[in-house]
Amino acid sequence: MPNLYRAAADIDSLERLASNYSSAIHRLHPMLKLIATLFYIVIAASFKPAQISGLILFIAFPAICFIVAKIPSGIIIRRLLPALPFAFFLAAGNLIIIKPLEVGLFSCVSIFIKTMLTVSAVTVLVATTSFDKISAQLYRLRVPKIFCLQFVMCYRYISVLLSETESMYTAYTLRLCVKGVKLKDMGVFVGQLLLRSFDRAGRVYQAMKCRGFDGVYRTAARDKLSLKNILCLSGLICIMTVIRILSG
Amino acid sequence: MHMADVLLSPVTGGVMTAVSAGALGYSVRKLSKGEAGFDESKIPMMGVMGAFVFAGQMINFTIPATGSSGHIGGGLLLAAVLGPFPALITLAAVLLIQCLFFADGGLLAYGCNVFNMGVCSVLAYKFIYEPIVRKEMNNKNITIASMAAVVLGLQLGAFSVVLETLASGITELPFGSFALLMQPIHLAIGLVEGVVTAGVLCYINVARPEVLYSKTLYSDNKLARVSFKNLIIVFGVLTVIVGSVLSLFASGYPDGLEWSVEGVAGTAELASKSGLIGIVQNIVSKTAFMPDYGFADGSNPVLGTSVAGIIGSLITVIIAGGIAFLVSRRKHAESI
Repeated sequence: MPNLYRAAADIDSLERLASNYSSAIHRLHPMLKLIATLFYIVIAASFKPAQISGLILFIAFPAICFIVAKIPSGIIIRRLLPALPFAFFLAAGNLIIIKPLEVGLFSCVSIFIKTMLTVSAVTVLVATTSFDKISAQLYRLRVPKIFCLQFVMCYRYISVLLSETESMYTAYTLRLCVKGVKLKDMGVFVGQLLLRSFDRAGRVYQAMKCRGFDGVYRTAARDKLSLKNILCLSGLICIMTVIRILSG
Repeated sequence: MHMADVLLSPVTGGVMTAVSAGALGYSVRKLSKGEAGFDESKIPMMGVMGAFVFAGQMINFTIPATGSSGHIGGGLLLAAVLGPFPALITLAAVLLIQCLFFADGGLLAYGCNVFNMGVCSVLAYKFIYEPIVRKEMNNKNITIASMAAVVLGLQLGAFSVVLETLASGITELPFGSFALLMQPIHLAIGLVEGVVTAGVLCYINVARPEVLYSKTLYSDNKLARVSFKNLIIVFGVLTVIVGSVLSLFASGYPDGLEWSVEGVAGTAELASKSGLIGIVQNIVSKTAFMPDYGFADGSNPVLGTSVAGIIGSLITVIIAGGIAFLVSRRKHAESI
């Protein structure tokens, strides 16, 4: 099941990239990176189809980050794949409908560049910031604790349940010599996975309770945003705003 | 059905994020009040079940006679096991993980994705699945409820994708063509996903019925109690949305009756100024304060349509509510 292996490999490679390297981008405060990424995506999405020159300037931000943080280019290509079908569908639609052809072409190119930019921005964020640091920023932004807790627990158990699914899938294919689960077996297969997950959740709760869990997820001390980080964030926002205004 | 950032304008993305944040905030409030038996033991359950949905989506099944494959959506499954409010929070967490670590969806589109896949699934559970299984929790009812809830939930989600994309002005596809492309595809996906969801829930109902959220409620007879106030609020909000926003997308073409009249008489509106028809037309033209769903002076047609939609809905509610009130009073008097 390629999906299963790819998902596990993606989690692993992003964790390694975020934890094992230490570049200038890695060392930036996670809150700075989170806000800058959100701002970058909003500004990139606000460009009109005819303003391709401004969009091209925006490529500089992720490109510099990719080089400085030494992020492999294969990752961005792999991450672009889920976003491409919808983008292709809309771009092709605009190319056919919009007249004259040059305007349609501009719209089509703009959709593809925006797809690349928005996916790259999130890739830079997760490839240079570890999961714990991202979840800590959610707490800091006053996101409800129960949501933050779900975010953390879900992520931690994804790899566990992926390996559980992998074992079940291997057992299934070895017995039936087929590729993929048959539709008629899907109810029992997924139902069995659900029951195993349910039982595991019960054991997890018992283990957490034994370690003093009282419904609150506690994290390590927060590192404060330094003046240098605040100035850096303000500078980035100013540059992006100026480019956007000058693009019309 | 994960929407990417490229499909949205910042305004639409922002509005939908606010809407989804509202739905999530409401769910968090419900859980923190301990509603539906929620306590700290459910927290790991939600986390692990979220991971289950993620892993479940990785299992591709072969669709017979098509050569293609599909996977479960998981929204209804989560709601059926955890209940609607924990399911929405868990799905939102899964969607954020998918967006950040698997580039499935985008940060700007996060609110839209939570609404399209989370809120729509939970609404389908609450208003379709639950009322059906409430009568009797057997495999037949679970199958019917799952199929209907998954299909309608997906249709609602796909329609939301169409509206959000069109509201963003990214595509030049006309509303009708876009909807005609999206809805049938998701009908087919929904049917297959509905079959699989029904299979999973029927299996659990036989093997471990206590796992199902509805089963625990049903045994306590809590499910029979439907909050009338909540029902009124939900339908009130839906009415305002349909009246004010969706009415703008109403077709400008004549309806079936007008089309038929046009075919026979050559005009959609008959201009008879004599007899009873003339008297009625005269009364209607004097009393109609918003003719042709717009302001009487013809100014601002877009705002006019929305205002007409809301006022029309309110008048209908007042008349229908008044009749229901009179009938119930009369029945009450008869029973005394």
